[in-house]
Amino acid sequence: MCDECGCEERNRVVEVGEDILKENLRYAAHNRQHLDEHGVFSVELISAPGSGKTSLIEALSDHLAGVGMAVIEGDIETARDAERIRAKGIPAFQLTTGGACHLDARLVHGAFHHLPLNGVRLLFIENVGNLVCPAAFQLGAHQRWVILSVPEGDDKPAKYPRAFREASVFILNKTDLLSHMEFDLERVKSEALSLNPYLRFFAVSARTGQGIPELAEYTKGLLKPLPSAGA
Amino acid sequence: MHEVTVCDSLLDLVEETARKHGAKQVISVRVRIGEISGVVPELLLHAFEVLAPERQLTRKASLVMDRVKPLARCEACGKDFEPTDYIFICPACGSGKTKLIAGDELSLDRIEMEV
Repeated sequence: MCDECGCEERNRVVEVGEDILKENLRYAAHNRQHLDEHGVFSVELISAPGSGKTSLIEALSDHLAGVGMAVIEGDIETARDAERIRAKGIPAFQLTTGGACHLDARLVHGAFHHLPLNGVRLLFIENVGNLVCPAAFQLGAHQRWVILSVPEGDDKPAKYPRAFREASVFILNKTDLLSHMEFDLERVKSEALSLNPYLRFFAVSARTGQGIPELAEYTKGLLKPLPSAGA
Repeated sequence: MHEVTVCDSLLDLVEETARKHGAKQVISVRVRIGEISGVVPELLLHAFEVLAPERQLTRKASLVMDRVKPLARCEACGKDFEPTDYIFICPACGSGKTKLIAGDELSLDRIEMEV
């Protein structure tokens, strides 16, 4: 019998209206709180495989000496990327998803148990190489940066709208290859900006270092102020 | 391919809600999928058909999906518009200060259950 009128109707419709990924959002909020409590500014990097996420972190680290950095690396398999970062003297923890195409906030939460944040002011979270799936899962980072490399083509932003919509910064990498490819820099920029007019755009080459100092300066401006001495 | 993860989260939420309401069986699950949520409806349906029967409460459940078109609001002139070709520039005043107000959602709308 139904509760409302005592009729024999046994079916009932319940209105829910909740985010399907609410459990992920809960972990993401928890991660953000953990980062804020430690005074850490966190940036999530997303791109297709091979766009140069790890190379970009390596190149940036050369211009961010003295800024306490740490990295969470996300890959389907292997700890290669974390080893590359550690070779630079930067603490890194490797998350392997074992097949899953994206990181989620719970995985990142788990990484915090292995990566002490004392002395860290800037945390990069490198997502699995994929421009589609990671876009749906917030991790709790303060900003998301989307990276595209020149060989991928200048028509990509509109093909991956969510990745570009939800990013704060758009980095075009491998600009040293521009002279070898048919790639319209203005087209890619205007297409990305019409998707998301709030995007900050940087054209860089992690290999030659072109544009990296400007990105490093921008990054420094994002960091939270150090607690004053004696406080 | 992340539709499997989305489906798992959906079934967790359905199960939790159904238990709270003392359901014996879930008959149907209705969700709202934004067109730029990044989820492919066919893949979500496929995941649902595989994963729902693995759980007691959702053994016989069906999935109904409502697609939601993107809708943006201009923060300069206040007009709402449907962005075409993913261009989020306000067609009324040309401003780029726009925000998405619908079209990226993944939400569980309602559950029909046998109590």
